[in-house]
Amino acid sequence: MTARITWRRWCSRRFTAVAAALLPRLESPWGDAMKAEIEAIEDDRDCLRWAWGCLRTACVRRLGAGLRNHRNARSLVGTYLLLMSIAPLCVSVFGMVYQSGSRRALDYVSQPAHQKQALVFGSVPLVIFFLVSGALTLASALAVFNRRLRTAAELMVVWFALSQIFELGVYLFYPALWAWSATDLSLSTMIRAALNVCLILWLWCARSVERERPGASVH
Amino acid sequence: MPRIANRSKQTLLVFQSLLDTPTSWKHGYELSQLTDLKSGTLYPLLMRLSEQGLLEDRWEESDIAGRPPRHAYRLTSQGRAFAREALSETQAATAPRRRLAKQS
Repeated sequence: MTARITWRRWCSRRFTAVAAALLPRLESPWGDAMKAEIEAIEDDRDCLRWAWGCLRTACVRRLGAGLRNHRNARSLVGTYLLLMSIAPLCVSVFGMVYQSGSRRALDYVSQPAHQKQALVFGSVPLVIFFLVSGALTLASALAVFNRRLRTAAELMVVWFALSQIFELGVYLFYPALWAWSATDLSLSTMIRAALNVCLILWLWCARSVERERPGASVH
Repeated sequence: MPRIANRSKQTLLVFQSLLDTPTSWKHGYELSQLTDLKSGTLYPLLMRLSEQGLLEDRWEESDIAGRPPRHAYRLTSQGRAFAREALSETQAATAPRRRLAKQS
């Protein structure tokens, strides 16, 4: 007679099997350890919780290892961050030029099509925000290119937190600018925001994964 | 060179439970019950300690027939020295705060 397998036990086995398959090659013994461990857990609920944790660990390790060990992935992320830093840096530089009283900048902003932009260029806090935001993303891009993923992740988390504070600040202190940017909220803006969140999560996964050393023996 | 920080609360909990019986081997689930850490926290931590050479592991045959061998862990001699140092440093750092809390 064979013991009946509960759905929790069945899911646990599937989760750990997926986790073992997902883990990077050098960490495959850990996948076997996860699979073996659930067989020793008597309680099905505990077993499922354990397996879920294993699956999460494996996903994080796989994503992190992808960025840590593959140059193409790092180039892609680094280039994206580099491009992301250009716009805020340009805005901050133009803002500084505008505030210094440059005639060309004043003429540009005085044109009817660009008048709304005077709200940004004329505000010192906003120019400082764009400068800091651009510098953070630029530093993060350089950190990715230099394989310092922990630094890149932490910089991007600071950038994200700062962006949220900025949004709140704009909403509270610059209602006119908020109304303008809210009407400009397009699908591409939302996709970019989602992409940024995914990117931060990816970097966060990579920050805890150690660099794969060629020929390193495991166990 | 891997980063050696290992001063987080979770790492210290694992060090403490492994140091209680330093020569005996412990399984992942057992460690989880001793430390109250979930597998999603425990495995990355064990992997990191193993990469840093502070933890050793081996496969142990199960006592119950038909069950696969389990992974067991214990601190290496370097790991034990490191864990003792980390724990004593943390205790020294938190002692004045605990004393203040008692006085108030």
